Amino acid sequence: MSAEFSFSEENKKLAQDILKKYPESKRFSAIMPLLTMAQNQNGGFLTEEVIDHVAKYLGVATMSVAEVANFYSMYNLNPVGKYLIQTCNSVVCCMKGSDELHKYAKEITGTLNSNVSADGLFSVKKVECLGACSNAIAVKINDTFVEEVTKESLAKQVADLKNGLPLEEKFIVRKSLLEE
Amino acid sequence: MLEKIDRVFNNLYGTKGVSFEVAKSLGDFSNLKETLEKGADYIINEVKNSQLKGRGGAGFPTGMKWSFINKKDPRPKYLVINGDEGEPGTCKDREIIRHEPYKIVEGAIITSYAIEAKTCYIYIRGEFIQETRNLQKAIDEAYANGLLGKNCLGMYDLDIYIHFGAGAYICGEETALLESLEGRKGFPRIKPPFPAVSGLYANPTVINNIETIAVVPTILRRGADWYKSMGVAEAAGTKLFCISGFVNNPCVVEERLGISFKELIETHCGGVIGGWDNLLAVIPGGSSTPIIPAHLCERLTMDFEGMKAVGSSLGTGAVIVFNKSVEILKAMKNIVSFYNHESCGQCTPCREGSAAAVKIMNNIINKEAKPSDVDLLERIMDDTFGTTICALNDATVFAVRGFLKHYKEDIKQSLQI
Amino acid sequence: MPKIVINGSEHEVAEGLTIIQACDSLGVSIPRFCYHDKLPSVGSCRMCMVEISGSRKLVPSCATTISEGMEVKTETPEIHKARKMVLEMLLINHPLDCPICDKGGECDLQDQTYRYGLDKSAINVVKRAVEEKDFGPLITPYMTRCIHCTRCIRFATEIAGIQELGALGRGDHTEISMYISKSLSSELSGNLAEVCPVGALTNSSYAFKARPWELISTETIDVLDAVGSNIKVDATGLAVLRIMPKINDSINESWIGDKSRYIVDALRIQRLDIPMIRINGKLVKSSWNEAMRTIADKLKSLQGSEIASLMGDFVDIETAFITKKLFNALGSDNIDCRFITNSAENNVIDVNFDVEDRGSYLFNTTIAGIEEADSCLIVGSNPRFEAPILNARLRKRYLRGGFEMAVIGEKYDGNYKYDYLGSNISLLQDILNGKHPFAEKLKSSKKPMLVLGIGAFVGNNSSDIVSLAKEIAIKYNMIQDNWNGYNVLNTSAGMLSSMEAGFVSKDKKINADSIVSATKAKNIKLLWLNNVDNIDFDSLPKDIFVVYQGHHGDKGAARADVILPSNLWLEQDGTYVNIEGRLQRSYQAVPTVGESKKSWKIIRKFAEYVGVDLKMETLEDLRKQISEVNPRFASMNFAVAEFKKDNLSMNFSLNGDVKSLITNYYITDIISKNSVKMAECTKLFVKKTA
Repeated sequence: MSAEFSFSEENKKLAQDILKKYPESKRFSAIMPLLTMAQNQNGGFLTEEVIDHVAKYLGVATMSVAEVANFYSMYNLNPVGKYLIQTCNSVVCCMKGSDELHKYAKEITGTLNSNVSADGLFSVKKVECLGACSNAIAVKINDTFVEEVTKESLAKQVADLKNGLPLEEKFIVRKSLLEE
Repeated sequence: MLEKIDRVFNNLYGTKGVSFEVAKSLGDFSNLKETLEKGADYIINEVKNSQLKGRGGAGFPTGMKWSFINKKDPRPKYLVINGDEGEPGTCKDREIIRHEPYKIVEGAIITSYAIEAKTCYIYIRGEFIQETRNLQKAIDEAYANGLLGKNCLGMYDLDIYIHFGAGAYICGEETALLESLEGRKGFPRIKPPFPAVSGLYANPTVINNIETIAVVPTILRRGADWYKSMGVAEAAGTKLFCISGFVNNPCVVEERLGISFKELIETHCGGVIGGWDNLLAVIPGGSSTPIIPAHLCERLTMDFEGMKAVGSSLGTGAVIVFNKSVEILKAMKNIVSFYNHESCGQCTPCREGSAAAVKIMNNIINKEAKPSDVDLLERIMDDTFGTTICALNDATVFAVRGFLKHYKEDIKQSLQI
Repeated sequence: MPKIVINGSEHEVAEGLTIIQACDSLGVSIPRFCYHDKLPSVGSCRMCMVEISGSRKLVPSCATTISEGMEVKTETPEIHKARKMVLEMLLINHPLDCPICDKGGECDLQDQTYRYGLDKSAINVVKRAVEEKDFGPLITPYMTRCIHCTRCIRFATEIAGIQELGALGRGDHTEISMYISKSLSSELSGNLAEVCPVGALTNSSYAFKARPWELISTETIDVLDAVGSNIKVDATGLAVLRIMPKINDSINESWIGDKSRYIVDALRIQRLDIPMIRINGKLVKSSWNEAMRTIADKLKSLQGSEIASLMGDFVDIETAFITKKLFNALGSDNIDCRFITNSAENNVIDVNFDVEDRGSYLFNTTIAGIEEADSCLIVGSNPRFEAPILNARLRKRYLRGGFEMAVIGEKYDGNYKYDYLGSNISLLQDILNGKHPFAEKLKSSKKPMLVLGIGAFVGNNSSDIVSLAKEIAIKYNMIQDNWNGYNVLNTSAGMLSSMEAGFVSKDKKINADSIVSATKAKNIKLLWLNNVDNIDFDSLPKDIFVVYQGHHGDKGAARADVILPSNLWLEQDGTYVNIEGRLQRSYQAVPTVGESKKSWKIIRKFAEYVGVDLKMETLEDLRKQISEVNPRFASMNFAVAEFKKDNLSMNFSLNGDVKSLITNYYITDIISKNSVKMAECTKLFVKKTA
């Protein structure tokens, strides 16, 4: 164990709010929301210290929290870049070429041989179905969906992020052709 | 085709804006008080009469599920709404969460009232964090308008909380979802006991899919008979279909159950890319439903019987359309890998069998397999079918069997030297 | 009692059993991996599936409760097919390294595969690799062999009460791992070697030593603490290779403490294997004849009142009895055994139990009886260190709920929650007077119990502590017709067994302390010690003649004028009594070392040198003599006795603290002191608590 970790003041308040959702004797239920909160505070990934802190905060065994952190795929156990590009790997996106897109994303972010790009900006990760199949290929950058992604649109997005432009939330809503 | 007037989801695309006022103007909450005043028994009966079946894939009759809750049991009761949408191809709940959240809230109120739950958790997959803002807003507005909290409408107490998942398809299985909600790994529980007896925190619990819950208020507004009148005999009502893949306009759309497949994709999706003749196959209800090759699609209807006739099932209504640009083997491998990746690891047959299946699939794709390996894959599926705690392995088996039923000889052919 | 039909024949079985439990109780065997009768079932290995009426699918017999009229089939073609499938699946990633696996020959996976499996699988894919792991000095993991049954996790969490093992990851990438901490910190962790159905978790001290079919097994008992755990000792030739638990649900269930298991490496270290006598200040090798003659010669010049004997650890009833008989015949009543031998202290610490009042020094509730209790006050004890097996029973009771526990004395981590009341003696008075909140809990209990640790019997205030405890026991209805909640947790099997043999002086003023003092006043000139190493040898006058009878060379042997090497308890037959007063035989598992002799025989032989006829030739003769004075010994039965309620002192000085005695579980005696494993554990775990 190296660096210390503890919840920020803001997150301490948030943690209290989270705990209020569950019956008092069921603090275990707060493990997942607290891990998510802690991961966000810790730059997008969990370390032993963070997991241990969540466990101590809740008064549960560190192993209980570690098991959860290791089970769910949205918890990152290795450092990630400022922008975590998650390319959907499930059947619809895959058939539409997400494999290639994933490789392309790694290329243009410079993460072919590393988890994090040299500038610390990017990580690229394959994920299972993002649940936006009508908008394939779906990509998530941090919490933001980017839909109907092509190599070109991805290249532009990455370039924008490199240039310090903010990540825009923009859903593409596909309607039935009968909908005016 | 479903008339506009008969739509349950009249703001599915959010074109009218998403707010409490808009929802009310579209009819939401309009008869909530009257409905509740008719009592829990009425509500449950009406839902039973509507023949509404669970929209999460398993299709269990909703009213019957509610009636399993023993009201005399002094323990607290819970309603848990399953929004862990994650079956590849499925993206319907996403539209409800972001555009029709008021229907979820109203449905939650009615259902909780019917089963005497004072707490309702909505479990949403962790990826839908932005989509859920609208749902949270809807919940907040319901609190502000006296529809949630203590002594609402002078009739009930109810709190609704959102709980996010964190990336595990298995948590869509209802007991795994409960485990996850209780802060543990998503390991499906052995049944019995069923959640109605021992669910969340070992208390009586009803778990319903988001779509199921969102449909409930409209059924109670317009009546079971109206709902039943749509669809076909054993598949009552309307359903959200999410059409993805190689159609010109993939989208989520509400339609009558029983609509023909061809009509569904021609009318709403602009047809198959490259034309009907370019259709290769369709996976009609999410990745676990057996694939249907094009020649069986001509007369295919989107209902339970229609699907059964071609050896598949309706599943979640996630229609994945493949045109001839798709390599079947690649799709098959992708689906097998998905189920392996999402196996919780509890039961031996699923944990080991799915991993072996992936390795065999890789060998097949890389042409390193023998033709007999295809039979081996099939044997693993047959042997492990029905031997596990939950149905995840069975889903794998259904999917693989579907592929092998129609493409086994082709695959074997590809492995001949 | 529901009636069920198993494989066509009807049976009546107890309500609420699972199918596998019912079948086990009827002798119908069902193969299993994840199910273990002492652990909660998870129903995940799918090996134990059976057919039941009314179910299309096979059901896991470990997770299905029987119901009236249920028809169960355990051997149908479909079941065999399912078993074959499970085994085939498990073996896909199993390394099949049986030839180099310690579990080979006693492996569930191996056995079931022989019985139900395929000889060859068509599934031939690259096997899963697992990173090497380190679980500490006691358990060596080979996780490629793991079949994910999670028994180990459930054992650690439920029984041992440590949440240090978990299944990290998902699906086929799941690995049984530790997190952050690197060594299993339980006194029961060795049990994982048997809990594991395959060779994934192995006993580090048995690594690559032998094959099970080469071993000669002896079922006997453990004497390293006073619980009397039943053990199976496996040996080849001269050496004990491993010690494992033998199931006894009244005592140790399926477990033993790590000390009981891992002292195998010390059994032949520092052994006294040849008689020695001191010549010109130096110990030199001798013969039995010469050694005995030397003592006999010394005795010629001494009166009976000038000789004394003390019994220490590991002494069995037979040896204590015959020694007493010899000393009485020699005119000496200077004998005692009631002192602490397993503390860090160097001087004699008397505990002065009243041998006539059996109920005052035994664990009257019995170990299994703990499960009936509904409240428990622990005074001056750390059961986790003093008797980890008993502590596991306390935890088991605690987990069931409705068990109020409180501790007076030193705080400890017992793997259960208790109210820590403090250490001052006055707390006992407060409870007695009903002033303390815990008194209410005792009052409302139906079966309250109290545990006095050996620490409560030590120190100036011990008589106050004990009197107060007895008063509390009486006042709070701990002594009922079918319930005795007054308990003393002794730590020395030797002390209890010597007491059972009556190895105390008739004169109540004579005890170990007075005997040692008498040596200083030169009233006692010869001291015969049997495995006693904790008296202050430095202050013992130089001309006191010390006979040391024992098996490990330590302080006692170093000071001895004559050393009589005796057998270890595993090298001779004997009888011991445990904390409950339960009499149990121990049996010889390995041959003697060097020229060492059976302890009782040494005395028997020596009697000849001093012309005493003990009237016995064989162990049976000796046992017959014991039976004549001790009817319990004759029947090997044990009955719980109440303590005598008279002569309780009522003038308490309410100063001072209650303490517990053992701070290091791993090293408590001359055997564990010589164990490398126990030294490693001490280094790893003991500093934390100190």
